Amino acid sequence: MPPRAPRPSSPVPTGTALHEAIARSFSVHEPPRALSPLRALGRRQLSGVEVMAQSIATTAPAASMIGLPLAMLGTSVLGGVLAIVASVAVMALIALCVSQFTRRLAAAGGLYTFVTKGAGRRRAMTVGVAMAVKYCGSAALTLYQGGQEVIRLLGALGIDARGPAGSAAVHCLVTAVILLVVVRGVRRAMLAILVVELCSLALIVGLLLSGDSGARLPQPGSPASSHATLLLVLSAMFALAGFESAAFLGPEAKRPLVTVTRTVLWTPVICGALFLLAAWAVSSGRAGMLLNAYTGGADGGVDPGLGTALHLGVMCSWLASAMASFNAASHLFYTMAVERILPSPFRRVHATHRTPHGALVAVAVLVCAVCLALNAARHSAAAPPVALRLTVQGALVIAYVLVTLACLRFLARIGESTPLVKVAATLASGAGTALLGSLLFVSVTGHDKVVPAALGAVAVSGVVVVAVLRRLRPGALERVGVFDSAESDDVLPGSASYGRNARGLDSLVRRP
Amino acid sequence: MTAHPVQRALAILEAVARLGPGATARQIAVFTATPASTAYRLLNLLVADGYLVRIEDLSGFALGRRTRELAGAEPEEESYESVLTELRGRVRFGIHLAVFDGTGIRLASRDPDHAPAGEGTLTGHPHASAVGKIALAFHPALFADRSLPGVTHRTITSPDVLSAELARVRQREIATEVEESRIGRCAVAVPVRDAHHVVCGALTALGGSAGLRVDDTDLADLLHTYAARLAGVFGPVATGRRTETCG
Repeated sequence: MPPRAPRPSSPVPTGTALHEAIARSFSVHEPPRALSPLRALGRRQLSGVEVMAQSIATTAPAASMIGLPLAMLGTSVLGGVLAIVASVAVMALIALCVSQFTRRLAAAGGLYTFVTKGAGRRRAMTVGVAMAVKYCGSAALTLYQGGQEVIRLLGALGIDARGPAGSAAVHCLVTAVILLVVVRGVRRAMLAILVVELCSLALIVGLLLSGDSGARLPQPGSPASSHATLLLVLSAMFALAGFESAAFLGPEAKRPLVTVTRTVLWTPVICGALFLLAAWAVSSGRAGMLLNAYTGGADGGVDPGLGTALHLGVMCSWLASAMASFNAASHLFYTMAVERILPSPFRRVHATHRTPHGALVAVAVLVCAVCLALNAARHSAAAPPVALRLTVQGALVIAYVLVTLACLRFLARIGESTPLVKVAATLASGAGTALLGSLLFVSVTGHDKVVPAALGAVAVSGVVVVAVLRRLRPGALERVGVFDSAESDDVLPGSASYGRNARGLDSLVRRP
Repeated sequence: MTAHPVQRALAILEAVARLGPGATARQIAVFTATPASTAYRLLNLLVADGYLVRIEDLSGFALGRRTRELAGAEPEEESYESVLTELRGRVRFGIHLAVFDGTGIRLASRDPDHAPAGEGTLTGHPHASAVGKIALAFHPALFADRSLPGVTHRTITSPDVLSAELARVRQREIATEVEESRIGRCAVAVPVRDAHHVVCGALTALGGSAGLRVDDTDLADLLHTYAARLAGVFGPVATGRRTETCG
């Protein structure tokens, strides 16, 4: 086959090194050498909308747009609005730091893999544990809340599933359905979820905008806490959190470095704008109709059908969030299994649907167990799962702080630091640390020992995991940091140098 | 002087071509006299669209395959992956491509829908696998003085029997394996040749004993057809190692 060259009309001038490299590439035939370690998941399949759906579903804005105004009832109006503004600002800074990674690599391990690239193995393991706590805990909480909404709606249809056995059966059934959907590929489900979420949001925004400013707001369910504003900040941050979950789908996205980055940057801004709308509605008294319809308050003139529609929307929002958390946690575990940190069953990929079904089953079992425990605790009239919620929030803040620090070190290592990112990362890590300190302060002053102990365990988990791996699987530590690295097919033939990486496989290296 | 973004992008690609694989962002910014933040932004865009790729440690860049499009070159010839994907869509067995390099046998492309179990046996005990028999038949020098351990009770462990088997492989250009590297698994493999007609790899179908018949002539014909197409894709193996393995 005669070698082909760039056409004379090409914008690449003849005689340049680029022209020569392109001309040479047609006569060079290399066997495939470098392959992405994550190619089993199926590269370049998901569109930008599907990636956005993962983040939006994790964030569950429809549910939060009702939850946040309810939380604001316990605080002063100005304090509530400022808390949400501050949360949005901090999240935007953290998103900017995360986007520095998503612009440069696609990784199924999300923040965990990002930290391996910038802050070493111990911190990466801490983030790995923190993200596992976050996504499994978040999945359990949203599954539990979604399951409660299912039970409520079943009740409206005349089916009583409120008993211990009935509610446990509902939660198990919901887990099974979610597992089936995510194993069969979350693409269509995500699009359906996005449509339902948007319909719910349209209904909620419509109710907020058309609400009567003189409507009576429902009374807060519990007496105002002295730390209500701080708890609201944590709730708002947690409601905004999830924007980073798009990163887990990077290797499967069509243009991952563009679509994931766009999603990471825009999700907190869009959700933040919606939360501010909710905050404004509370401050102007317009949220009365929405909250009364949802809580079934005594305020006259609220159509019961509207309340059912709202509960249906919120149920979908919670369950979609659980599904997205399943997806994110399974990708994290799959990455760790590829690195040989977790055992090989977590590495199984479904032959047809290309989903990490081994990790998904493990996540489903774990999450369902936690969910059933929450369900049992509720039936024994125990306190609501505040400790679990605060632990999940705290673990997330730990991960965020470490990823902002990793961002600084990563960019310095590859020589691509800019002053703007340095300032953003410094501010974000400072704000995150302050928030973590506040969370511990609230817990300690509230005589809660569970949350500080759990967060302390998360914080030291990296050191422990690395020490255990050194003894049991020393090879695994060399393998950490698996991402969707460039394949031979991505490279202009004859323009790359190959060498063996830590996993003993061919990869692209600097020319010796 | 303010350069047009397209000019800057072309200058960056030219810089990577001149500096060689692994050029860092800072080197490229200096080489093209572009402000650092502008260079970083353009580099990320060029990587996102496939005109550049990042090396494994993420600190440097190499030219991406899409630069051909930028140069107005003719459409891509078919790649080995597109050939394999097409074949994988036509059969219900696992289709894998092995190449023979200086270190022995290496699986260069694994079927993502049918991950090969016991990969170490496939490549480490050539007398027990169909792929290994192709390597032994066409490159006996590579595997001289090797013992013939029994991986399963059906593995050929007699040198004479193996010699006769390899002679048949050379003659028919097809190798088979019936539960020799793993109980319950059968395989058929055919040689893949480069542009110099030297055997440099093997294309294999792996399946369960109940599903894959090693005497299936349709399957053998299909593998031979696609192996011939792979030969056009591979061309001469442009590494120094070819001479020591395939020569």
